[in-house]
Amino acid sequence: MKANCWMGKKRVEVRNVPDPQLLNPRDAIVRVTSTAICGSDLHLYNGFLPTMVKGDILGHEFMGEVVDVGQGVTNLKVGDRVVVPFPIACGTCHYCKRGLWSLCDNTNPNAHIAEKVLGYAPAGLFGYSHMMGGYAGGQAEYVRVPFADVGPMKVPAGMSDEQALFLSDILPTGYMAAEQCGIQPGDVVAVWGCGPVGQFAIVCAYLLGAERVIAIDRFPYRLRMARDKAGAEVLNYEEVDVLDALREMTGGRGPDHCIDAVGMEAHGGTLEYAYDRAKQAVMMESDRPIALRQALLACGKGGTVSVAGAYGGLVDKIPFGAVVNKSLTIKSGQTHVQRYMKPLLERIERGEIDPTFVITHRMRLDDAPLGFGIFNDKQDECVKIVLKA
Amino acid sequence: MNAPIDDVLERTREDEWGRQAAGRSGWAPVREPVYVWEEPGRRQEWQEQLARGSNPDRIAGGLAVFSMGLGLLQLAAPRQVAEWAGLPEERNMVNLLRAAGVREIASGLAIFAGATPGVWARILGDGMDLALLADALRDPRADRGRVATAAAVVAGTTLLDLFTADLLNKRNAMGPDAAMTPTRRVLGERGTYGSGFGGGFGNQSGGTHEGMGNTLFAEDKGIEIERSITVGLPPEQVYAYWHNFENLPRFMLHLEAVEVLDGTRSRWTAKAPLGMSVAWDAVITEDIPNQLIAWQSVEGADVENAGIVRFQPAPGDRGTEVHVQMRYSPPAGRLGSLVARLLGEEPHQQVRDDLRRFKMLLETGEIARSEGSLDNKERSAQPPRKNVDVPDYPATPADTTPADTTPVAEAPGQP
Repeated sequence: MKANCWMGKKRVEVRNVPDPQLLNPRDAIVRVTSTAICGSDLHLYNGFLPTMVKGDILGHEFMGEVVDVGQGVTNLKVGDRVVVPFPIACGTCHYCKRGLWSLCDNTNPNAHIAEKVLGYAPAGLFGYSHMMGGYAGGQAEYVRVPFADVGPMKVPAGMSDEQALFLSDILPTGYMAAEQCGIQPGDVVAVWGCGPVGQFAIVCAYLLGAERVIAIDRFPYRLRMARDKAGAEVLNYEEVDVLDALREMTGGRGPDHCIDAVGMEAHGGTLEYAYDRAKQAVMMESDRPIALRQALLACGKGGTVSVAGAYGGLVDKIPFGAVVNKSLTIKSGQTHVQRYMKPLLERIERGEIDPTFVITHRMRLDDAPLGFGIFNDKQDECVKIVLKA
Repeated sequence: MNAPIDDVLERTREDEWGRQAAGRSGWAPVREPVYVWEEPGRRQEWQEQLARGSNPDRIAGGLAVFSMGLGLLQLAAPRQVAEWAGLPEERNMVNLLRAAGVREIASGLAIFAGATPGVWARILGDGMDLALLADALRDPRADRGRVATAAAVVAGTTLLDLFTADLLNKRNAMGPDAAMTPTRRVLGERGTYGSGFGGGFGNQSGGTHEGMGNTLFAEDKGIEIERSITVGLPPEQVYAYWHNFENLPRFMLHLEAVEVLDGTRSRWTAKAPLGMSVAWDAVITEDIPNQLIAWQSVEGADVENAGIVRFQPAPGDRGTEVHVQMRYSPPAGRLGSLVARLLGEEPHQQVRDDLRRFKMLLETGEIARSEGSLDNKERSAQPPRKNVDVPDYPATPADTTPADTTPVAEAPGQP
């Protein structure tokens, strides 16, 4: 089959690889009908996350049709149309039982690697480095889905692929980011990052009762999408002083909550960016937390900073004094997708959310390398690319 | 029969950690609060103590700076130093002085790492310098007057070093809190705090473990491992699964097979590095249902080993904590284990991974496998080729106490 493989820094290639086989009784094989490129894939693409091996198949947002099931799977049959969550979860461990699906104890065969870096190993993920399990990803024609009786969710016939696809990752991610803020009526929420996750965070913040959402980015086309499609008030951090603007826009109070939907490859004003890039170059810092620093400083007193952006390692110069003295709460985590799939599916069915608004490009799997290129460089007003079979 | 186990393994690492937390003097009751105005002598005592604590470090710091400065001088301008000290300016002397310079710098740095050993390093250096100078007095090319002066200076420094060492000794004896400086924490301070932890509890000078070495492993203390994991099932089920030793190879990847011979005896075969195989017979020495199983290998084993696995309820609804303590003596002793380590075997990690697989098996009925880690070898995360043997998934044994693998949490999308 064809699959999009990581071949090195800034290099992905679509190659011919063997079809997946069932390896465990609770596996299923899914023929992928739609998949996407995620912003966190770019961290792998740009070589920021360790433990990648040449040839690894990427991709963790995918859906399709079940073509084979292991003996342990009784709730799915061949032909079912499913969307698959990106964390792989067993459903029976302590964390799964508490709804913390991305912390599953039992799905990372390379837990010993993750433990060394993180202290304890979270769940395995599709297509996201060997530290996260070394699973083959979904930017391919077929994928093996472990614990298929737990993760995959059936998609109703009336719903298109594009409506359902983002339940695999980014819509639940935006939702969890907003939910973790603990939004009260009247609250003002600031969102850093107008990529797909940021767009969904804006939408979900409104759904959860925010009175105003202010979105921050530097690409006018993304800010336009945030304003016109997601309904946010927008700020371009290259044009204005964000901390100042946020303060004055909120009558001197600052936003009640802040969402970091940017993550470890943040870009910033010259000096700060140069500092972080320099430190990365000599391996003294692995992640660039520019948006996070701003969010921590900008957040109003007593608020929550919800970190949806992906970070892998070490960050530098975090204004922790601001956290302590403003009594801030920091919430984060890889999305517990399984928790949100059904409720969000229902919202989509009721017309409360139309996730398709973030899609700007549709391509075939063969074009994936080009897709990575324009997505990474923000070319051609690219926000979200969907790869179709 | 139980003696080896009692001696070898009864004290767990957790006991050790607790003991070390108590400090050198052991557990003493928490002291009653002090009313400072009722005890005027205390303030005086504190002032003296604070001075005693910091003074030696300050002096040692000064000596360190002096050492490094002198060393730098000796290294950079040995001829000049020779001239000042009245020593013959020939090549041997120049090299000697340079070497002395390096030594001075090193002992200066050593003081920053640990005041006491650093100062003693200085004293040794002073001794060497005095010997050098004494020797020079007999040399006709030397300027005797200057040599004598230099010797007097060195002697004076030596006295200062000795005085400082004495102060440091007194300060160290006051207990771990006496020093105000952070430099105290490293190198050589183990002697003050009591037996170190790093050597593994088999090697402690604590005294009560003297008998350990003699019982099971005559000379070699072997490798000790203590690891634990929490499994979300009641102790009865976890104990039952483990007790059927023929299940163990399913998650202990180094085991090839276990054959239960009778009530207490079993035969074990395991893989060794370089494709070899080792075997031994083991007996259960203690068996408390749902609580613990202790075993020991029999005379003539390829790999002597003994251990205890305990099953205790985990807090709340978390299930069972499984604690494994074991000790084994690899073939070819320490050398063998070193070689094995170089070949990528790491027993502590292996036991941890074995326990993780045990948990997976019991909680989910299968062991997680990924394309990128099949056979525990790293390969790219792509599906394996068909017709190339995919390693056999270890089949769930018939008598597995069934983990209820119906997902307890609500699986999305279920009708």
